[in-house]
Amino acid sequence: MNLWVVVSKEILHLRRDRRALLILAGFPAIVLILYGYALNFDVHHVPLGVVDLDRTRASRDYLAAFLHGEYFDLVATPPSRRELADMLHAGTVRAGLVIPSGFGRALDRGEMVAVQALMDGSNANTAQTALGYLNAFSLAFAMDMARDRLRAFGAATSGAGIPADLRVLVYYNPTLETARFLVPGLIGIILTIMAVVSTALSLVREKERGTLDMLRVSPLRASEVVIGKTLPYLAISLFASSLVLAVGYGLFGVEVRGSLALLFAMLLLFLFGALAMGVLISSMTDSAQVAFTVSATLTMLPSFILSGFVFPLESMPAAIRLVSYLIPARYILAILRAIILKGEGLSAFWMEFLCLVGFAVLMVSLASLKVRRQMR
Amino acid sequence: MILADNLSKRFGDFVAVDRVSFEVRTGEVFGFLGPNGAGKTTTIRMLCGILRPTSGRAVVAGTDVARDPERVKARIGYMSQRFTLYPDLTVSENIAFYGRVYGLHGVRLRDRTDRILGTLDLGSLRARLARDLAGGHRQRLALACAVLHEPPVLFLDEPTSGVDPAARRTFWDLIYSLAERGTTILVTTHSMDEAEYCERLAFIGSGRILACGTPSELKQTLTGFTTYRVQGAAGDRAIRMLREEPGVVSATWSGTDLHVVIRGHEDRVPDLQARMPGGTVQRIPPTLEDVFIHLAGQASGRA
Repeated sequence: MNLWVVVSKEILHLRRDRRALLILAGFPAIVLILYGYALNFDVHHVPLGVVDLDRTRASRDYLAAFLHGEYFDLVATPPSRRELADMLHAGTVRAGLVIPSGFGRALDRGEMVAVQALMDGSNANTAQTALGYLNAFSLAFAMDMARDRLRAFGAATSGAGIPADLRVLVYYNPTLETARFLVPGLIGIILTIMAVVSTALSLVREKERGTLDMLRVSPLRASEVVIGKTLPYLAISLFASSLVLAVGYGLFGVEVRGSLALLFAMLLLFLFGALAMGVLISSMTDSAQVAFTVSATLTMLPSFILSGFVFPLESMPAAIRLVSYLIPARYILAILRAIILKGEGLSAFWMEFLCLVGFAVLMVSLASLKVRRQMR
Repeated sequence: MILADNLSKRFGDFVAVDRVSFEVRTGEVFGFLGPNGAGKTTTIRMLCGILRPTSGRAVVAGTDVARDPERVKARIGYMSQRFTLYPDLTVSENIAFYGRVYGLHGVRLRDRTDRILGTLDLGSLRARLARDLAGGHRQRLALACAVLHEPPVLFLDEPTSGVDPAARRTFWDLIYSLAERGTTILVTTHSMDEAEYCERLAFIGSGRILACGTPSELKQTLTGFTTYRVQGAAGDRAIRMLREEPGVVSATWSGTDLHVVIRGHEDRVPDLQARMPGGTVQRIPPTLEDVFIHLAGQASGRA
């Protein structure tokens, strides 16, 4: 009953501050839209410049191999290698090919020909990927050629003389789209930040205003105050997560393969820990500014960098990987990805689940200990 | 209704409240007078059950505070010296919240709210946000929140700080009407004028009670002394000169006047007038301020 009194007051605060409410509820979805489109690791439409010194049918065929699909756009055909290099320097092209003269003739004679590729390496990620594409296309062309030639020599038509043909089948995110990988991550990250920061702020504000003293003098229990003040934020956080899921499905076609109930159960578990962490921070600080800085620092950077959200944990130095075990976002991220992308159940991530339980228990008990001591 | 029995509070090495004992009777307006940092708020917090005393005992509304703080909390009203309302909630939302916290609901809550808003003349401001209220209105709203549940004991911690004199006057009228209906009131202040309104007073300085009694009883402390007012004296040089006069116990500013307390019964106006050719010297009955300064001086061993 008393709990409800505090909850309804908190709802009044939120209703009065529509802007904050809107930000809390809508921010995650907006971040997803921004990140989904902007934080794109897929490499498409790389501007390509080609110097074709051969100008034969063979060189045109070779070039065509790069231009189907949407990976490369032919934007310039400068006459010499030097001009191509200038363009690369100016940034008008990001990749270049130089097909030497005599390319077609050499192919006809069955000789080996070297084609030069130039690459703007200033963005290592993009360059790496684009280079991979160039290689793959060139190889595909060469293999087709070899197959044709073998056939011409009358060799066995089946298998066409290529001993092993790698056919790749990507699971879970078949087209390797960034958004698909991002949705689960974003839910985890944003929940951490929002839950911790907003609860810390709402409690510290009560301290700053001196109203906490009034609550302490009142017959309200400490637990009623704290739980009553966090419940609305729990609700908002869950709503915001649903919105992210909906946007992820609507705009990026990311559907939840696993059980929605399990997904929300995991989110709830994680939120308990995160909200308690907010309470804990608020109990150790006296001003909203400090509370915001501390909670933002503790959540934002670590969850972005050390949770495996963008940067794969496997490629980090061992020491940093050890630190990442302390970041709760890491576990919820792994769980969300497992449920959303792979459709897995509890048995697939019971370790992460246990870690989250531990995090929640630790935070809730630390927070209640601290608050109880303060309210006395 | 309120009993403090050797209450002490230590924060590390600092003794904020030092063996304070006093008693407040039902329906009494009891003043706690002392400078900032004297231990007034700390004492109130111990009586309200939100600060555990280092030693000593407090009984409020018939309940031992240490033994059952929850029971005490339900039976007291508290108004802090700070603005402790929710600025983003309206007048009636603030009242309704505090009312519900104390278990008032439905018709009872509505009736009480109407009544208190009427008494405090806030009826027309119901829908106003607390942050938009003027100082005097804020303070009355804070009082409304503190007394809505009709507590038998009311703690007011510097309730009139930052409020203009007219609003201060009406506020004290309200306090008296509450006391007439049987509410026991403990009010702290550092204003000597306000102290005169209290039925009984405790002077508190450096965590200790220096004296306790009615305002007139306290003024009796200065029997054996005479008090003078010097008007038109200029500068601290005047104070130094007056202090050289034999028998002077204290010479301090009270507003733009100088107050001088001298040991003995005889009239010393001529002596003082001789020292202060530019000023007018008058013998006056001692004010509470004179008493307080005298007691504080004695306590610190200067008298």
